[in-house]
Amino acid sequence: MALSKIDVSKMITGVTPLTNGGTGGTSIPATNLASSVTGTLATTNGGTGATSIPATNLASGVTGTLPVGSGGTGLTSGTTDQILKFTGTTTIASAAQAAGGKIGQVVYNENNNPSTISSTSTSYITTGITVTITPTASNSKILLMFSSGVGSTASSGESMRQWYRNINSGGETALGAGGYGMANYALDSFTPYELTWIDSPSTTSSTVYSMWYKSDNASNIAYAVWASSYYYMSAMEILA
Amino acid sequence: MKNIEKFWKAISILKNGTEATSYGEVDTEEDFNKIEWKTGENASNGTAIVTTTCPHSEITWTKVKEEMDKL
Repeated sequence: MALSKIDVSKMITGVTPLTNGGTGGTSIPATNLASSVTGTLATTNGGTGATSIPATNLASGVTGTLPVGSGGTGLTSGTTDQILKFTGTTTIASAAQAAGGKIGQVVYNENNNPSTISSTSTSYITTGITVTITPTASNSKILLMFSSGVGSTASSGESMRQWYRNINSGGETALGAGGYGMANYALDSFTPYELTWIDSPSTTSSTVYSMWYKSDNASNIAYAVWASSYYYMSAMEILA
Repeated sequence: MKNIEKFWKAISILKNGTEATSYGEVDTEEDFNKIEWKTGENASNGTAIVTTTCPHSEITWTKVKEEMDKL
């Protein structure tokens, strides 16, 4: 006699005990994996086969590159002496540093209690105020700045200033046209005076920059510096 | 009036238009002997040619001091 299939959903009611191959319940209780499971699940069964996950050696255990979108650079190498630069919203590449505008060095000379320096010379005469700088590169530029009070005894007189450059004691060279000073003179209220110049000395030798001055008329006294006032001179090397 | 102002005033009285340069006050003969007197100009760079030996017979320390003391 052949057995026909039994529809257990219709033929069996109640709970089938474990001894009869049932579960002994109407539902299967959840299993607490932390307390009810021991041992390890083999990798062949979809587990890790271990009770802990070993650290990954990034030097030998990882291949490929981590893209920018995942927090990496997307690069396997770069160019020596270059910097990283975004070349797109999600790409990075080696790039040269921006050129120019770097301050190589600064030298200065200041005095808040100088002696009076005065002259009636109508040819340029040195104030004796200098700065010495040795450029690190022959294509550098030197930014020169000078400030002090200035005056002349004539109401219409002019005290003129001029930068000079002397490389390796090879003689004084005038830089550009001289700046013009003030017209009205008052010992107690000297006019602040600034004279800036950018020079290209094309040398890496010791270079002395100095401020010279003269009067426009031998009857006028040109004051380059007044006692107890101030002067400030600086030279900055701007690298190419 | 400071001595440097008196000095220049004295120079203008003794020989107006004299071209000279002072680095500091002129209080003594020693200071006077440091004055740089213009004798010419370097055509190459426009700077003055100077000497500390006064080339003007009208100007001596004695005469300058005398004039300064009047001021």
